[in-house]
Amino acid sequence: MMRFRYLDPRTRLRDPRVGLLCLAAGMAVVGCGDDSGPTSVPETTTDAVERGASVSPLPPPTDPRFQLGRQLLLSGRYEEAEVVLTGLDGEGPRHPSVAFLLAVAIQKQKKYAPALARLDELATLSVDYPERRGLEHFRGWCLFYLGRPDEAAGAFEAHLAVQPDEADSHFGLGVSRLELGETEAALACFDRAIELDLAVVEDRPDRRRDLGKAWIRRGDALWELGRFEAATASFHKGVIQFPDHYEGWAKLARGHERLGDSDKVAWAQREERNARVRVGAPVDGDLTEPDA
Amino acid sequence: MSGCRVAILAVASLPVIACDHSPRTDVGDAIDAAPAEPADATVAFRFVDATASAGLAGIVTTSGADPSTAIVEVKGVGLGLIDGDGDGDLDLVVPNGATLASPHAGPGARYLRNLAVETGRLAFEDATAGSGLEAHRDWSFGVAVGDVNDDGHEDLVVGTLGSDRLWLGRGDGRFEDATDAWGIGDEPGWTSSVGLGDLDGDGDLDLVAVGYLDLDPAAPPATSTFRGIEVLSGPRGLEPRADRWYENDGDRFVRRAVEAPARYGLNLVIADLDGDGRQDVLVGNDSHPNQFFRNLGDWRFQDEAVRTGLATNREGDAQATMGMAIGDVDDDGTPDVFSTNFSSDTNTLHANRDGWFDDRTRPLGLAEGSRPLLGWACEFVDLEHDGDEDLVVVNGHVYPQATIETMDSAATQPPAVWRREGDRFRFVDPTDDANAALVVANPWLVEPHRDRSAVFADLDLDGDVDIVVAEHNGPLRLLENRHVPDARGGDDWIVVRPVPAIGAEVVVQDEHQPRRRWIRGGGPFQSNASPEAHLGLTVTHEGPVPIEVRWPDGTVRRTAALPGERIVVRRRDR
Repeated sequence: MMRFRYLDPRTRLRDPRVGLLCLAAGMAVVGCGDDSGPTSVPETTTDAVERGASVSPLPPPTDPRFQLGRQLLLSGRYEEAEVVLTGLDGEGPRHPSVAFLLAVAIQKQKKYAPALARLDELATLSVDYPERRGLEHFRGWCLFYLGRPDEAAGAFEAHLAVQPDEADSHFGLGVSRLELGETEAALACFDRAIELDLAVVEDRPDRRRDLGKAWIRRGDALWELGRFEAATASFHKGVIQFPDHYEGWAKLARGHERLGDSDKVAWAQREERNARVRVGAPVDGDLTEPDA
Repeated sequence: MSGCRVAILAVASLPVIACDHSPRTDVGDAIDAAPAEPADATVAFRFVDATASAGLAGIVTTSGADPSTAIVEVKGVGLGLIDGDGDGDLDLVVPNGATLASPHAGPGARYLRNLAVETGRLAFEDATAGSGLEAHRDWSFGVAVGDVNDDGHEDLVVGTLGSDRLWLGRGDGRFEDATDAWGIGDEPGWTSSVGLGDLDGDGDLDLVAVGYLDLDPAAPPATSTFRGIEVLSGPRGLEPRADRWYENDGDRFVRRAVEAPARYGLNLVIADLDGDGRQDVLVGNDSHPNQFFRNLGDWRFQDEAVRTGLATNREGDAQATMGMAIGDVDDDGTPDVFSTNFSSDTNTLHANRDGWFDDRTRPLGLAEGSRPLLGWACEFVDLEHDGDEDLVVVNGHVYPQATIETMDSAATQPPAVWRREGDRFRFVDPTDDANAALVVANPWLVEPHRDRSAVFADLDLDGDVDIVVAEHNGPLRLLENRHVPDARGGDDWIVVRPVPAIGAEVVVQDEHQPRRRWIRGGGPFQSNASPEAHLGLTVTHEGPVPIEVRWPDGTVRRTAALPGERIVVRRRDR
């Protein structure tokens, strides 16, 4: 068991002042959301993890390795971040911000079970720290990828209870609902995520990628409902925002196939291949070892 | 206990031969009886490990070194279901593997004769000696079974790391090596799965041998890394092996050229997937898009996997595609395709929508529970005899180093079951309190193994489907289904064995709902599918239940059977 101090985080989370603080600090997990989108595209990491540090009741660790670990995490160097943060986490007294970022570093390497174990432990602690607000979001993605969509949905809902305008959690809730077969509910989640992303994307072009993923998942929901034309249009909107989303191109090709437009099928398949090449994903006939 | 009636039908008529016997109540003196277990109708299904009591203890498969060091060592060996002695029950063939040091001189195949007809219970005897199969010592993978030479006896095709083998059955438990005479040893290499099917509609069984990759056992490839851990390498980086297609020419197989790129093939389904009356071929490829060879007639096949949606999952990603099964999950009368995949991925259900195949894994509830598992053999089985089919998958990781901590997936894993509930499947999560009674009744649901292949069939002729599992470098396990009819009482099943079996579509009119089963070429994984259609019945039928059987050559037979009856429906008079 970790050794921590301070108050009950769950009580704190229900404090409306904390919600205001969270809103003021911006979204705690922006850009951190996982997706079953192109897996070879490195995930960028949160800028709000940085910003959130300024509103913490618990000051961030002063050890320079904490800042180093965070910078490594933010720059997508997850393995190195894990090494640095593990070293720091192993020295007492432990700091929950370190433990949290370490869990995120592990999660970003797709090691969801050990990441979830750490996040679950953090969730039980009577302590508050700036990154705490993003805990349920990251738990949600771990649970989703571990095949527990019902619990994932619960985690995303918990996060949205304190961060209702968090587009990534609406998105996470949507994919969880999709996995649970709750297609109409999923569609509403994607619509809300798109609405939130559209409101900020002009000022924050880094949200285009997430906006694209939401359009594409919206297309999945429409497809499931048999609305193939609307789904195809949604896939198209998605790849416009996120042209490297090769899976989106594949879905667009399939949509045009279903709609009987062979020219557009060929175009989308070409673009899918191009996107795969751009991000280094395997293409049909590519026999190289991906993880060697 | 349900009685069992066996009927043989030659033409469209009511069953003409019926013989009552009561499995498990007429126990042979020489065989140890399984301990009596109290019937429990409160759990949905109940399987007990009958390996030892059925005489299968000590049957261990070999697949190279343990722990595995090369990709050829991780696939395990297949299993064959065959009525090799013509007595009506299904015997087992274990072709067995070998080692890198002696790839063509393994411990040898086993022929395990089913004594259900003789003893009325689940019992096997090792009948390898004198069967001819004792000479089969190649490193073997896939198994296909069918009457290749149309002599009324089932034959055996085995895919190997070398020359594939054809063993012609004599119908008396003996087999003769006809590999050279039938011309299938023409291109040695690594064949993963083999499948039989009437691809040209001429009434006999043609052959597709699925190639995995080119590999020199004397020089296995160097290691690779997975999630930062050194592991055995492949398939990517290695040369894929092309599939081979053979036309049955009556007394030999003749190679047929089907233009298609070589991929890392692992399994296949031969069935009429597009409903045009011709047998199509779906090849499941590892890390490459699947190939759906739509049969256009006259030995013309066109790969329409991308167009129809069978090539990849919904994300457009090629998956591992080890196990494959077909069933009508949405009750629309068309075969849907389920496949098993790598860990941290989901298994995949492609729902057949008028010839388009949509990945409906998640909406149907089949993603839940599958991500931590690396799936192999799978089959749709009506575990509860409620009319619809549930799903059973056996699991185990390819990397001996796998742990939850490093790969989100353990090296050993329990089998998994998804129960059909309404229009969705529900994962039987052993950690869920709601499943506590089911787990107590089925401890195999929490027992981790390194499973690979499995066969699913009514081995003891009692009207429910039993399971035999082959663990990687481990023993066979026999899970005996102890189905108990519900409170309605009476028999709640029918078993139909079409002859020939492969390619037959069986439709049973259960209440107002027609239930369909397709006897496919290919099987759960490197094994053949049961030649019988098993149907649980939703109501207690007072009279005969209408049955229709269709074959690829257009023959249709209509008959009827009583609940609790096993019937044989022949395509033509003998």
